[in-house]
Amino acid sequence: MAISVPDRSLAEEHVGGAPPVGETDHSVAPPTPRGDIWRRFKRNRLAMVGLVLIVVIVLAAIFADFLTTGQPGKVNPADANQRLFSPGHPLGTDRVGRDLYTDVLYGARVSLRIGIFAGLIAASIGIVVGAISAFYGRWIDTSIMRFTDILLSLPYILIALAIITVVGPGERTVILVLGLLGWMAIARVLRASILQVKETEYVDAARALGASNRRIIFRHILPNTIQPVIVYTTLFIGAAVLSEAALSFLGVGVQRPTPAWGLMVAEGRRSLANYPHMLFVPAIALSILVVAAVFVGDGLRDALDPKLK
Amino acid sequence: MEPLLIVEDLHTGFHTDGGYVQAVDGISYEIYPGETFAIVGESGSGKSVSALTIMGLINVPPGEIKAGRIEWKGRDLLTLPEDERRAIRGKEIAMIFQDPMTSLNPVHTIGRQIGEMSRTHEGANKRQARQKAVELLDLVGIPQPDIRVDNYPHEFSGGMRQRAMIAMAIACKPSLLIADEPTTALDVTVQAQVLEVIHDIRDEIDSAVMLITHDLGVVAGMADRVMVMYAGRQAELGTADEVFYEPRHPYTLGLLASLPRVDETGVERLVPIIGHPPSLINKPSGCVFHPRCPFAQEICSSEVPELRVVEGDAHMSACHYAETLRDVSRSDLAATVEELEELA
Repeated sequence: MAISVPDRSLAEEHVGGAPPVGETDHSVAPPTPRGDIWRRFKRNRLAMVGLVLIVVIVLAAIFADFLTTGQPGKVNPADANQRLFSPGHPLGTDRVGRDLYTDVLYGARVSLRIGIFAGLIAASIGIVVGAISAFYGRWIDTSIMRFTDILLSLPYILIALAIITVVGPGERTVILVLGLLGWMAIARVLRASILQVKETEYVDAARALGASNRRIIFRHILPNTIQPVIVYTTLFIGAAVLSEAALSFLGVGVQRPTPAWGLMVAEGRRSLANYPHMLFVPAIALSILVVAAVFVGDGLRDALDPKLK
Repeated sequence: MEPLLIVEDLHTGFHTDGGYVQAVDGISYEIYPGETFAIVGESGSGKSVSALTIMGLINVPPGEIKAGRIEWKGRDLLTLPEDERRAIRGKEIAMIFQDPMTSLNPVHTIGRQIGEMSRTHEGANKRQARQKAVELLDLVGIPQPDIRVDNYPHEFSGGMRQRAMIAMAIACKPSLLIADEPTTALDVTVQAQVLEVIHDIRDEIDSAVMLITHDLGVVAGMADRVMVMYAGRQAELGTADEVFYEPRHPYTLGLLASLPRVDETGVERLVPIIGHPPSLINKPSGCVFHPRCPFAQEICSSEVPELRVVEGDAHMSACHYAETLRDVSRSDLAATVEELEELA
């Protein structure tokens, strides 16, 4: 019989490699209370680096008003083509004299907004569609899944281009397009995971003890299936930020005067030969955000799935 | 005494790619208040399916309840609307599952899962539910229940998890507790403890217990009445003493003869039941047991034997020759089986 180990710090020493007293080896994933998730996440150095980077970027975006003096996207031909570390422009200016430091900080707002809102839209649609598909099954499941297969097989950037040409470019359109085209993988991941959990004994047990359908879905099934969705959405946010860059590069993304990192990369490309910093400053900011999102996503995946340890 | 539960001519089956599986093929029995009723049989004999049918946990399709009636305290369960059945599940009829490792939800604390019962059926609030969970854990013999209540399932050992499952099942003091192989997944020393808990609880909350098992030792220690199932049908039904000491069906006889016994001196061989259980899709004609029965005659392959009273008030057997089995001893059986083995 297991000995009670109420003291968390004591318990952790046990955990090292071997499971705590009384634990037997069984194929079902051990449970993941919140404290354990955070402990496992903290142990992953890359994930912590990613988290710190994201926090820094978010803070920079929130406090951009205090961290900069200029106005975002403001054209100033007199100051054009300043290099790095020039007086008044620590990161230089672009070919029409916009301060890159100011634009990168304000651009963080746009890029984060696009990533987060596109992620939320994709996750919401994905969760609803995936859940309906898994719970109703049969022909509903089959038709929904074939439909997502079709959407997945279409070249994504072409559809995005088509939609944007019709609706017109801009930040809101970019968010909508990325969100509406990004939910398929989330729906499939959630569906697979619900189908698996639906068959577990604890769901049968809950039903045998008189739990209602709603209770079974929200208390027993969703908490056990939402983890891959969280991970995937985190990774998707990184991907969405990159897609914004791709769309802006093609000229259908965010429009000036709003600064966005992808847009700035697209603009900087033209001066690459003489003033490479115009491309590299926003490109590095973009890369840091995307890599940080991937690190955090990977860290979350490992922390939420003890089997991967 | 009025029976709590009356099962009449129940047929439950499953449509599979291989054909229609007749898992439960016309069984009838009653369960009375306060008794322990054991259903014995090997894997695939339909024990669990009959319990799941009572609970309303058969998925239709692929499952199908072809015929039969299940009457619970005078109400026909099979025609009851789903929300009324749900109100009965857990509150009046509760079930303990086989594998405590997989029957508890890993993301909720033990206390929350036990408390869910009082919250679903008795409208308790969070604090009351937790308090109730502590009391129940104490009742099933978990030490330091006020600390343990906040543990997650992985912090419990197998035996403790099964105790927690029992605590969940008895939270609303059900009149019938269905225990589906409650000790199969546990090691032997823990088995005894868990059985004892079930036994004590039965007296404590005054409920009937339906014990499903393939372990005759468990049955002998706990059951008042025993039903032996084979290939979805009833072989024998009677009090534990009747079935154990005066078996009137060759299958029961075979089961008992294949058990090692400590009270018999000498070096008697264990007598196996030869052959394999039949396919539930294409059952043998006549008596389902006849291909393996050492006493089978011609009639056994052509006519299905009725379950009938063969002795006393209620000792029933489904064998054409039930009466003649009275004088069969273990050594007779061994000799017959040996003869058959030589023939084969």
